[in-house]
Amino acid sequence: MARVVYDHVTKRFGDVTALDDLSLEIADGEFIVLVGPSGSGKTTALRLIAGLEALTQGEIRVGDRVVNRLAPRDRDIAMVFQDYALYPQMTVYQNLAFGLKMRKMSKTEIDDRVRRAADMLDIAELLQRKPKALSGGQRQRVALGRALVREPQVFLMDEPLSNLDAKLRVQTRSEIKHLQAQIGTTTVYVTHDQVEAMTMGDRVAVMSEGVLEQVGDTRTVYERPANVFVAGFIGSPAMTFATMRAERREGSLVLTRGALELRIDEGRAPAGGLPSEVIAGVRPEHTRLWRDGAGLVGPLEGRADYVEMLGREAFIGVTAAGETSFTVHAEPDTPIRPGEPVWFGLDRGRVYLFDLTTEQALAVV
Amino acid sequence: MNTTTSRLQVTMNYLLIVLCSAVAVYPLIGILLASFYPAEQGVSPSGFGLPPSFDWQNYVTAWDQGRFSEYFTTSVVVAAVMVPASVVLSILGGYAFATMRFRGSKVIFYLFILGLIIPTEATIVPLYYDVQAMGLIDTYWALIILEVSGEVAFGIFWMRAAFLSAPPSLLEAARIDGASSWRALWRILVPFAKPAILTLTVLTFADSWNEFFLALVFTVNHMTAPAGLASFSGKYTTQIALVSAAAVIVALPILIVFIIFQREFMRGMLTGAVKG
Repeated sequence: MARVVYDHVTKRFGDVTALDDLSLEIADGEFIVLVGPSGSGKTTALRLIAGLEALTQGEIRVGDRVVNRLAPRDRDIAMVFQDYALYPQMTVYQNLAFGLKMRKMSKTEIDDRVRRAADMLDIAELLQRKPKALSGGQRQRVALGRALVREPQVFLMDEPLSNLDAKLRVQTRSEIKHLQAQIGTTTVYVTHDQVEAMTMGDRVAVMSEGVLEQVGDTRTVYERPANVFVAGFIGSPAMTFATMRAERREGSLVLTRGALELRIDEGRAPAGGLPSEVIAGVRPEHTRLWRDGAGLVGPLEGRADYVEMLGREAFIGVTAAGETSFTVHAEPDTPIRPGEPVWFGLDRGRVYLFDLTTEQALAVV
Repeated sequence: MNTTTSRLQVTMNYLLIVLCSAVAVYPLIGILLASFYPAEQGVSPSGFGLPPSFDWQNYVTAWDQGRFSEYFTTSVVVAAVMVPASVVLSILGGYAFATMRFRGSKVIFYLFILGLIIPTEATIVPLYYDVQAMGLIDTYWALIILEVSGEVAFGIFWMRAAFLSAPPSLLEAARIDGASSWRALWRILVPFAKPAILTLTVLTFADSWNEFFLALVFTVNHMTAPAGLASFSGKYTTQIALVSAAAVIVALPILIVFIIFQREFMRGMLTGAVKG
C-alpha cells in the first residue's frame, strides 16, 4: 500500500493538453474516484500512474518513489481495464497467474494466491475456462482477480463497470467497495458516472477539460460545489442555472431576472458584497411545490413543460416568468399536467451563487 | 417477397461460385487426367478425355529423367530456411510498426510497402551484380536471402494489420503484469494472432515453392521445382503425359499444405475483415 502524489503534472498530446498542472495527493489506503465527462483527462491521469503514457511535466510519486521514468512493470501497480483485457488464449487460472509468473514467483506461491483470489471473488469453479466462455460479469471478476493476486501498492480501475448491465453494475459497485475496504489497497477509480463516483469514493475528484475542478468527500462536493461545472455535473437531475441581477434592498438580497424575483432574508445574505450580476443555481431536489411556504424562498409562478415520473418521486420541468427553467421536485401522485400553472419555492440556504465570469462559487443563500 | 429475393440471390451466388470453381479447376483436372495416359500408346491426351488406362509410369519417368529429386531438395531446403525466417522477421517487424512509436516509423513502413509495389523484374539486374559480388550465384543462400527480403514486405504489412486488430489494452495489461516487450509479443500477441500467422506461413510457403524467376536468374545447378519443371517441359514438349505428370509432382506439396491448413488459412484471411 502506498500514497500516490501528482505534483504539477501536465500531459500534452501534440498541441492538445490532456491534463493541465494536476496536483493531487491520494492517501495510503484511500479509495478516490476521478470523475468527469469524456475528454476531461481522468483516464489520462490514471494511465500516467500506470506508466502507459509518459508525462510532459511534473512528477508522480507512488509511495516514496518518483515513478516518472519507471516502466509499468516496475511501478508495483495493477490495473483493471474497461474491456477487461483478459488474455484470450489463456484459461482464467493462467490469466491470474501470468503476472506472478512474470515476477518469477514459485509455483506453490502462485497457486496459493490464485486460489485465494478465486475464492474471494467466487470464481473458483471458472479457473479452467477461457475468457470467451465467461459472461460479462464473470470476466469482470476475473479482471479484478488478476489485479488482486498481484497484491500491488495501488489498484487502478478504468471504468470497470461500464460494460455491465444496470443491475449487475449496482451489485458489483458495492462488491468492489467492500473488497477495497477489506484489503485496504490504495485505489484510483475512473468513471464518467457521477452516481458511481458518489457511492464508491472516499473522496471524489471532479475533472473537466484536463483540469481538476474540485476534490473532496462526496458530501462536500455535493453541498459545496466549487464552481458551476461541479455544481452541474454532480447531482441527478442536474442543477438548473440562471443569470440574475443581485442587489441589496431594505437589508435583503434580491435576485431578479425579468419578472422573476427572489428575496433572500437578511440573515442569509452574504456579509461581503456581491457583483451586480451572478449565476444562481438550485438543485431540483431543493425546488419544491408551494404549499404553506415553510422553509422556502418564493413563491414563484411558472408553467409546467413536462412531468417526469420516476416511481418514488416526480420532477416537473417548469418555465417561470416566461424564460427561466427550473426542475421542481414533486410527489409521484402530483396532479399537475403539462401546460398547467405551477407555484413553487426554493429551499432556504440551498440557492448557490457563482461569479458570472470566473464561474467560481460565491455564496450559498 | 423478401425470402424469394434472398433465395434467388443465394442461388445466383452459388451458380457464380460453381462457375468460377469450374473455370479454376478445369485445367487442373485436365492435367491430372493427362498425366495418367500411357506413354507408349501414342494417344495424345486432350482436355477431359479419360485415358484408355491409368498408368503411374509417367510419374516415375518424370521424377527420374527430370532430376526432380534435386529440384525438390533445393525447394525444400530453401523453403525450410526461408519460411521460418521470413515469418519470424515479419512478426518482429509487424510488432514494431503496430505497437511502437519511434522516429521515422512511417517513412520506414512506406519503404517496406514500396517493396510490395516494385516488381522483382525491375530490380533484377542490379540484384544480380550484388549477388555476384557476394559470391552467392548458384547457391541456396542467393534464393533464401532474396526470397526472404521480398517476402517480409508483405509479411510485415500483414502482421502489422493482425497486431493492430488486437485491443491495445491486451498489450498494456501484459506490460503492467510485468512482461517485457519480447515476452508480451511471444506470450500474448503471437497466440492472439495465430490464425494470421498460419495464413502468412502458408502463403509464404506457396510463394517460396512457386519461386521461378529468381531460380532461373540466379541458379544453374540449384534450380527450384518450378524452374526445373520449365526446363523439363522444354525438353519434352511433345510428351504431354510426361510433362503433366511432372506438373502434378511439382504442385502436389502445395496442395497438401493447403488441404492441411485450409481451415486456419480461411480464419486468418478473415481476421480483420470481420470484427469480433
